[in-house]
Amino acid sequence: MKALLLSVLFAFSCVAWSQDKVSFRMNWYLGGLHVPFYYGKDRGFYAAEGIDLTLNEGRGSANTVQVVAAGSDTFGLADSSSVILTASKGADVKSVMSLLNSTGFAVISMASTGIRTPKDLEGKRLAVSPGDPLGQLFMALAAVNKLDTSKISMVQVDPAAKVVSVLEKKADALLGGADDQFFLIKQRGIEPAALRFADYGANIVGMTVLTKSELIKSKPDLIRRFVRASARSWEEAKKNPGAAVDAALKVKPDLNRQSTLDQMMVDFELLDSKNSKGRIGMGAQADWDQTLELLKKYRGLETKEPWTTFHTNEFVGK
Amino acid sequence: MSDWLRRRAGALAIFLLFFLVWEVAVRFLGIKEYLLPPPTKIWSEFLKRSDIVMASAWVTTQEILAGYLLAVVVSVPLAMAITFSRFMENAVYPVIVFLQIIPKIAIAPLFIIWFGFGFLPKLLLVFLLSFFPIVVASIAGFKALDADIMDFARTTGAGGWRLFAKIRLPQALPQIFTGLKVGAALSATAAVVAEFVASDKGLGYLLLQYNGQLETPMVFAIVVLLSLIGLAVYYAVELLERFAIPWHVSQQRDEPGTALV
Repeated sequence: MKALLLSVLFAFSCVAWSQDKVSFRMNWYLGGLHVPFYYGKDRGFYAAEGIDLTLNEGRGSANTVQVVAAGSDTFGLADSSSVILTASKGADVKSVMSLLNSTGFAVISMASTGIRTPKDLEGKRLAVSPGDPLGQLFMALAAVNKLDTSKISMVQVDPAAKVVSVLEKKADALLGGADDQFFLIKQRGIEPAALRFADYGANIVGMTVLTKSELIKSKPDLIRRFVRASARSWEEAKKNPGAAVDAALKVKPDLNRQSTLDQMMVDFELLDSKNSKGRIGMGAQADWDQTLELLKKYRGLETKEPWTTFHTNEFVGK
Repeated sequence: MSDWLRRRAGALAIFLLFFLVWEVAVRFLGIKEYLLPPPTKIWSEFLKRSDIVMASAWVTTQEILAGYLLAVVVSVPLAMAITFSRFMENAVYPVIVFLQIIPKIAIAPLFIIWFGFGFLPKLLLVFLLSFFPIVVASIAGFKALDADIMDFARTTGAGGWRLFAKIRLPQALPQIFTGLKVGAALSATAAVVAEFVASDKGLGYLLLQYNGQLETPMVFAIVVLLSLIGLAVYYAVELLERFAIPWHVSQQRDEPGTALV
């Protein structure tokens, strides 16, 4: 009798404890990029892997990497450069999903301005924000396309003011995200245009999912389950984009449905690069090597470590 | 109430005129909505999203109140200790003066690394910003003591506690309240700055979001709401002051004949 009681109790506690509590910090306010994760949670893909997931909005990739490194959140969504630069300074973080293998960074303008190739930028005014990575990586784009940067005037503005400065013709183009500012212009009824860095030889790996290296050692199984659920969430969101956005709308009713959907469709295009193909979260060495090289050249990265120090594919396979 | 209305009629008229000119100018000059929306648009957009905005306002209000009350509870007794203990004055006061010089807002980003996105970093920033004015004003209040009155009170045989309750505290209150009001005004600023740096709810969070989406009417709506919250906290302190020190000159300006507005 006692044994029976104990085994019942044991079974009970197993059910109660089988769900791992996990928090996942996004890089920014909920938008198209984050919809698949909310969809996956809504559909129970994480619960099916024994994960009790909390999704949190973020305030910039750099910020997200810091809170994950500090252990306030289990996982984070941040661009590869933030992960690499922070890790190279000794933070205990590593990417476990190379999610967007093409960067969404782009030169965005009103189509009527007529910027169709990088060469068209010469003689134009470009809105950039002090200290953001776009300005530095633009130098890579300029170098690859042999632009004369002395003919491009850089207008320094606050991030939130970039779109306004283009709309008000204080600048001819801005450096931003093909899945972001592009649609802010479109929403105002104006035809936007985007030159993606990735299409013009200056690709770096975009968004990655990161966690603490320590967790990779101590709970590899948890990470494998989380990565599997996340990849499944993206696969399913690709099949049902409308339903995915509706799941996000449940959490945040004042999202603009159409813009969010548009953004997510761009993010689907960015999942792969020329080098990576197929599997969601799988990084390609060529992309990561180029990322490291560009960061060393244009953003002062100092490291002798190989790409596998910053990203691992071990959880994506199988 | 009608008396209040009569006295404030001038101020209300100025506000109304201001909004009217704003509305007409924006519409007449065809200024784009994302640059400067007309007041009616701000109001109608606010009504559309009042649910989320009011929920966020409550979050921010809690941060303000918790941080501010903590500051009051810590700083007034601390000021007393510094005034009445030679050791505290020599050892602790210089430290406080030095700490006051540190730009508190500049260390806000550190709070994310230490405490994450939650309630604690907001509470701490509100506490830090409102703490110093209250401490400094309270110390000044406790020190500004009329020695003759104290001597006189002692001749009546009053002991330590009676001296404190009847003379020291009442004499210090006007200055303490000045500090409380400065602290109250700073507390709303502190909560918003803390939310700017890192948050996933609250008015500062919404403000940045709407700003990023170019939803300027909502940005204005939130700025107005934040001002109202700050004003409410300020007036709550002033109301308290009226009850605590009705005899003080600062409370007598509304007497008939002296009221200007």
